[in-house]
Amino acid sequence: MSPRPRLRSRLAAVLICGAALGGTDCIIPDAGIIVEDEFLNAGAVRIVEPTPVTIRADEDCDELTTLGGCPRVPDTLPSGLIRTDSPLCVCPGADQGLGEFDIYVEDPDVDEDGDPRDDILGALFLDMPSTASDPSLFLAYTGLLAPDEPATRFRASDVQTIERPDPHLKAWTLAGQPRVDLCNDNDGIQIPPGLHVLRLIVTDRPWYTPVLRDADGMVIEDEDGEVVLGDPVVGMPDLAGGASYDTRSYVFECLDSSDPVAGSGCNCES
Amino acid sequence: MALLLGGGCIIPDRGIRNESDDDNPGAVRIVESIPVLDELVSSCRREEAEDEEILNCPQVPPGLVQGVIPGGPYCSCPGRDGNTLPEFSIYAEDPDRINDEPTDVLYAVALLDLDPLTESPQTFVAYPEHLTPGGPGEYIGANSRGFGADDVPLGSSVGREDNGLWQFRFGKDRGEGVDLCNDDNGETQTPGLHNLQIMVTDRPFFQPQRLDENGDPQLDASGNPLLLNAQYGMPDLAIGATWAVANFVFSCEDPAEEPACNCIEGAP
Repeated sequence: MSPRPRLRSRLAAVLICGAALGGTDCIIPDAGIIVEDEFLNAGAVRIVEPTPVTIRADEDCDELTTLGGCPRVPDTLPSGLIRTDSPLCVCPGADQGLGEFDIYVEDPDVDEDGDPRDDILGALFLDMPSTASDPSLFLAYTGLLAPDEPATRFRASDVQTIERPDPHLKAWTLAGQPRVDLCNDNDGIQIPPGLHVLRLIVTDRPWYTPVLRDADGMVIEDEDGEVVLGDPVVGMPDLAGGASYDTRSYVFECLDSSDPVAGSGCNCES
Repeated sequence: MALLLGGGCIIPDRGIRNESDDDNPGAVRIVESIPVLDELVSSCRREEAEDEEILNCPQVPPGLVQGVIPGGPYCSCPGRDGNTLPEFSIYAEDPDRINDEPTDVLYAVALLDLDPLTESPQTFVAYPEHLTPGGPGEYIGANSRGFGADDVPLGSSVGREDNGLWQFRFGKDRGEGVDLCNDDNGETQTPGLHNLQIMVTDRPFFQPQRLDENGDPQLDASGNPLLLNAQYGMPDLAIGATWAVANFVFSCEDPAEEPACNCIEGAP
């Protein structure tokens, strides 16, 4: 059975109202309410990151609200080109690397109690081409971001907003041992010198899990007649299951510390 | 559980929620295709689908993928670069809708090498001839996204409402490639790595009021506040704007050091 994705509709509300009018005496407005369908994934996950705020914009937020300024996403490493005070290097041992940083996500879907409904999963992929046939082959840095670890609420209290509902901000903290060393510690493996792309994919459903089939393409069932599923494909949102996803990329350059010219600024640890 | 009203009207209290009273309940998102397993794509192909409902797979039209810009080498030339980036598109969506029509217009700007600590993001506006600063996108209505690879129809995700897409084209004169290193409003970039950020927001960019010497807003003859130039790159947070960004990195090579540069004479 396929899900019916478009029942976020006032039409359904109208039907309820009409039925009520045909009965006795209740009138339900068809505005101001949203009828949800059990299959619906109404809100999409999104990665959020801070952006610079001008002084005048901050003053405007202060004047128009009681927040004392514009609400901000907490500072963290911006996506795009990673710029560091000292270069990132492939070292005989370890590199000074980056400090820990956070990845922030939000998803508007809430349960009956107003709590976040969707678990958000995320994973990192190194140098994954856009034409990749299987994203899980490029899974990387699972020690920094475990693909089966949901993001956690950033804080219990509401996040400040203006004209927006609480975004239920969640986060992962990426912290290496003892620091994030992108060039030397891709789960314990060094990566080659050069420019690299670290792609982040987050989703609001469990990763896609394929149905196992036999050599004839028939679905495999266990002895109880249950369909046998394979392992989750990390990096593949369960699109058929209504998953939404978001993605960002971080670009960083690893210099070769043994190169007397390019590596002269490296700050390797002995 | 159920709510009993009057004489026999039963309204379930599950599956119904109040619409938000906020002016901007839904946030803008930049959407981008990702690698998809063939077994998922195949289930979306028209000839294999058994139910119209699953025909549309949640993919957006091909666009430039965030990360390192392909092609090149791109070079900082005395004239212009023969290696240009073909026009590309950014896609975004916003869930705020009334009667299946979007309530928000989406706007975008390109920023080059934005300093995350700056208090003047508007000074990082770049490539205005390729993407009009603060210009609105083109709305691509729901269910008209076209087709992706292998003739797979593009559409909303199963289980999600189709919010439609907004398209932002990046390229001069609709079709001419972008000379990244030599045509940022006629300026040539220094050799090295650069970060191009596209910011999309669901309100017009912040436009401060003109103030008098006492700090009070100046008004025109009709009593409306006089406004200064828009601060492109500054979402209008005070009225609830949301924003999203996509980043693209490219390297400008020095033609004196990079023999593969393709510098040619003439202005960009």
